[in-house]
Amino acid sequence: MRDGGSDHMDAAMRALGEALRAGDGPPAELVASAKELFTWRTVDAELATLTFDSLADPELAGVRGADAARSVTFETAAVVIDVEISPAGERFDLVGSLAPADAAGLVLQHGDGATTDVVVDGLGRFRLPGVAAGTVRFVVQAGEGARVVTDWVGL
Amino acid sequence: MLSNDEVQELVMAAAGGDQRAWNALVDNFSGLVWSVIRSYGVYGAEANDVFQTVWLRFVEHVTRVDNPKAWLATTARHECFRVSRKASRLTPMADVPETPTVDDTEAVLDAITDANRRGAVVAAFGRLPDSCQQLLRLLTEDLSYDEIAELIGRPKGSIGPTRARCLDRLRGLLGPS
Repeated sequence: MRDGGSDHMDAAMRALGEALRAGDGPPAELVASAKELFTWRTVDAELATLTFDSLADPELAGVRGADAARSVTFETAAVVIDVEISPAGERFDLVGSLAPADAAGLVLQHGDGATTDVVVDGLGRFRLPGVAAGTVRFVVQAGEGARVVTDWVGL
Repeated sequence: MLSNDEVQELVMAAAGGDQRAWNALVDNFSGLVWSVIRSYGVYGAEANDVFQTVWLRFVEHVTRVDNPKAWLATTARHECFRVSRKASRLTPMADVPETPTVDDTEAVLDAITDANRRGAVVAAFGRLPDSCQQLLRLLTEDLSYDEIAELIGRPKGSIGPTRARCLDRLRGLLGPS
């Protein structure tokens, strides 16, 4: 029995769940592609997690205008990447900063496997105009491999 | 649903690169992720986008999270806020009717568990206020009250009374059996 429930209530909630899912469960092709995503796993890189996303906060998200910029932050203990994402037609303009500044190789990776090299200036600032909608992450490269990868975010 | 111990074993195996363990985690939690997406009223291409982003992000988090179920539900909620302004307006549950509850919960539970009325129950469910649909959907998943309270941003103590009001509303929409 679950919190505050009864056996009858539990049975009813189970039945309701089955009824709702029977007509509207996750599509099989989406589940299959979620399984394929496992090949994206990076073993050796440090993960810079999404520690702030202005859209994930219902209060900020609720009042935002359609054209307002979105602000996201990715962090590890040693690296911080801040990005402002502004809609530009069907695409997005990204303006951000990498701290500590490191021009050695910042890459924007797209969910379809494509990558875009990012030019980072001496202060760690970068600008990526006209990024196509989709799922992206940043990769800080070191030699052949990745030193830091950020969480994926959908644009 | 798998037990917590089984989930932990799969997480360990996936951390070691076991694709089959990952597949089992996806199979086990896809329904939950989908229910959370629906509970925020997200449909169509936006729902697919949220679903994909949640699993893609989980690839890197699978070894790091203590409670995969709660992590997946919370991440799905965040992504719903990203794609849908409607989703972010859904909390708090402002449109749950405050009418006094007729203590006839057993009757509506009987209707819900009656396989012959399944179609009618689904149709009536679709006419409930969004916030009732949200709460009842989350209650159909294997989530604790603490987890649900966190997801909908309401006190745990409000869940029982709100559920009662929503079931009462559902009873009204179903009409006599």
